[in-house]
Amino acid sequence: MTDNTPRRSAPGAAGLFDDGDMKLADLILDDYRLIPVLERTGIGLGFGEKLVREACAENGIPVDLFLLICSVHSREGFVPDSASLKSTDVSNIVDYLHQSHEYFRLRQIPSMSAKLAGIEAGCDPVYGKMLHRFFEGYRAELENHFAYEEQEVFPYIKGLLEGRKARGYSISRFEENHTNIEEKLNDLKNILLKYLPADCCPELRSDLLYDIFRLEEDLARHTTIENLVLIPLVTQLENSTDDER
Amino acid sequence: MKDSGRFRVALVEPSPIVATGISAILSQSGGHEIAGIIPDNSYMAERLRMLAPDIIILNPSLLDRSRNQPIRTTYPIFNDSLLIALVYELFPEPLLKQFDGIITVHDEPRQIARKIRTAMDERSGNEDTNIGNDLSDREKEILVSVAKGATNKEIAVEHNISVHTVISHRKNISRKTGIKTVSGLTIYAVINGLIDISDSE
Repeated sequence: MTDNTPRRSAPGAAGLFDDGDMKLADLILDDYRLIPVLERTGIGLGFGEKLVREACAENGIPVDLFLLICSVHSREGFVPDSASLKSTDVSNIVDYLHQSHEYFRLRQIPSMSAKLAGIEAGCDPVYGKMLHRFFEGYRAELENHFAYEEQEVFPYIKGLLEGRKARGYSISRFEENHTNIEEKLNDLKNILLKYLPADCCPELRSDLLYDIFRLEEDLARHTTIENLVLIPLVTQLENSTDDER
Repeated sequence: MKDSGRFRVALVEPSPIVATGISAILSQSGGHEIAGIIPDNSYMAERLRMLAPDIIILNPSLLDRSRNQPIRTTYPIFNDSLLIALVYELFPEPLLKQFDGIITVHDEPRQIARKIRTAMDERSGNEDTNIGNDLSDREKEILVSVAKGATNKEIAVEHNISVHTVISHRKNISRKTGIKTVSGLTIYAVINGLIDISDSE
């Protein structure tokens, strides 16, 4: 929904995220973890003194949705209230999640993989080979996880939006298939931090560790958006599609 | 518990001031992470299920008590977590008795952390939480078998122990190393010279 919706003042909402009448730059300067959100919503850098509302309008992203996503990223423990969910358009959320997948696959993972290649080259080749295989295993797991959503879940939701309900499927199946993709990343963190010998590429390793922590947090927020925004909205949609029959 | 080893806390509290305060206290006390703050009681059970918390800290004023039955009957989801009441007004004693623990807004931060820990110990029947650092010799043997790709059943037969014991060893290995996947444990075993790389091929 767009700007003419009445302002909401969600219980527990911090002032920053209440409306779009603040400078976009201030939002980012206040929390640098929002930088990837810009990229995924198509808002380019170099936005000068534009207000959040203006930047969103220019890029065709509903300001409420943008602020909802920022809240999930910035505010620990944020759970969207039912009122803010009602004003959220499912297809916009799906677009955002798709852009996030692209960001993880095409930007974040390759950048980490390049650092790991440096570590592989600078360490005992036995360790290098194992780390390489381990990371590729993780990459494959992540790709599978995203591919399932892109090829099964998103088309199903698009169908619902067009009033078609695929038989034998429901969003609750998505929850079942929502596999745990944190384990390998967590293991890699421990191996790099605690067990690889000290002289094994310490600088690149620190950089990669930093990336892993960031990715982990970013993925956790991504999952929050799926679980607390997408699934409730699609469940509502399913129920209303049922009612029409 | 999450991979990070911290307990996930869901906070069900309408006041942003109180919710922010409790979150800050729990973050500072360490060992907890705020999985979510739920400010009202619409779809409370569903939202709690999504958050899958280890601990629920809840303001009892948000409970639906119209049916006059035990709260764990109205909200079966409460059985999956440790349930702590967050209290700053008077509630009937029989209601508060149904919680695993009670914290009030007047508690000192340290008291809050201790009350949660006590409630947790009581609920888990004081499970052995010895925080050993290095793997024991037995755990190393089990780890080698795991890294070589043996199933729990095979490991049980090989070491002449029950499958239950194997699982308990594996849990301890993962808790101490922070590594959960078989491929991760294999790397650990090679780096620590417990197996040769050719064993894991």
